[in-house]
Amino acid sequence: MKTDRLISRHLDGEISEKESALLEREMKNDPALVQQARQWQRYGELLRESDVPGMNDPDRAWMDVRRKIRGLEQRDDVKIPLFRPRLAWAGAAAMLLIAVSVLFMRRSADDALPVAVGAGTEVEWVESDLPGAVSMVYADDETGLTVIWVVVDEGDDGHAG
Amino acid sequence: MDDLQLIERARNGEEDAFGELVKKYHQRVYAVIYGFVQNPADANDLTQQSWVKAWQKLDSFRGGSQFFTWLYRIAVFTAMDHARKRKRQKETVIEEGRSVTTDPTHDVPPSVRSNPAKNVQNAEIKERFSEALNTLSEEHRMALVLREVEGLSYDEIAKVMKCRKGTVMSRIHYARKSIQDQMRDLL
Repeated sequence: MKTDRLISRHLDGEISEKESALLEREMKNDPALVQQARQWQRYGELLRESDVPGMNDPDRAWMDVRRKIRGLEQRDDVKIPLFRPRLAWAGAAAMLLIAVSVLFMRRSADDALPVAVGAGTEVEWVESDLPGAVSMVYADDETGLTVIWVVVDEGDDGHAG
Repeated sequence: MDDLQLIERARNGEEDAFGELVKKYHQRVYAVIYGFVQNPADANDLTQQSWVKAWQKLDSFRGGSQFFTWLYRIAVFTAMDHARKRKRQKETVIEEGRSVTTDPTHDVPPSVRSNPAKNVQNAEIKERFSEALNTLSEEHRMALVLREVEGLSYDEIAKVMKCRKGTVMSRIHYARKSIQDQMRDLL
């Protein structure tokens, strides 16, 4: 099996000198290997022997290719005025729809928040029983929530409420 | 004018520059495709398709590899794609239970057909060889064709077929063994 592969690589000129010497020794002692190499060589000849029948003349081939290319380009040219404005209008309409939807959803969310926490509620003062606790109140602009921090004097732990 | 200059001009829309490339490489592209499909009509058609694809993809040629390696890749995949589609069509026809009629002279080159008495044995060998070749997978067949018809090295074949060098070696070896098994009584 290994010699098989060596023969194949030898025929393809993909063998090192060391491997070549090894193969030569083995082939001297085994006529079947020589026969195999000849057969495989013959397959290559058969592939090349076909003499590429029926090939179009390169000049004619180029004329055919050019005709095909021009045909494709003409089709593209025809497509452009029909297709692109439609695509542009569709895209613009989709963008407008998305923008309106986003605006509407954000406004709805903004309107809903004060209702959830109680519209018009204002925190003016917070009292805690925890010894040494200090409270902080601030309105979070991003969420619209009122946040109350109760910081205990002992250590760095903070408790938010 | 070298290939890169022609490509640059072709990219700028100069058809004639592309025409020069077509005329220069047409025979090599055809030879590879013919070696693979073994049929002049298909080979001409697929060669034309390959050139049209090359024109359309010319902007993607980066110049890192040689032009013919890039071009072969297009030709190889066009031919392999065609073979796969044809195989699927044949399978469908067979599955549907219809009889498949084939022209026995279809794959025999005209030079052999013109003088049958003299070439009987040769024609039989070639026909059997062609049949054996067609039983191989597209990958095995193409690797063998690129090696034997075009004389590409394993490295070059690996680049064209986008696989490893070891894979190329295995495919060619397997292809030879498989053909040998099918032609044992003739050669």
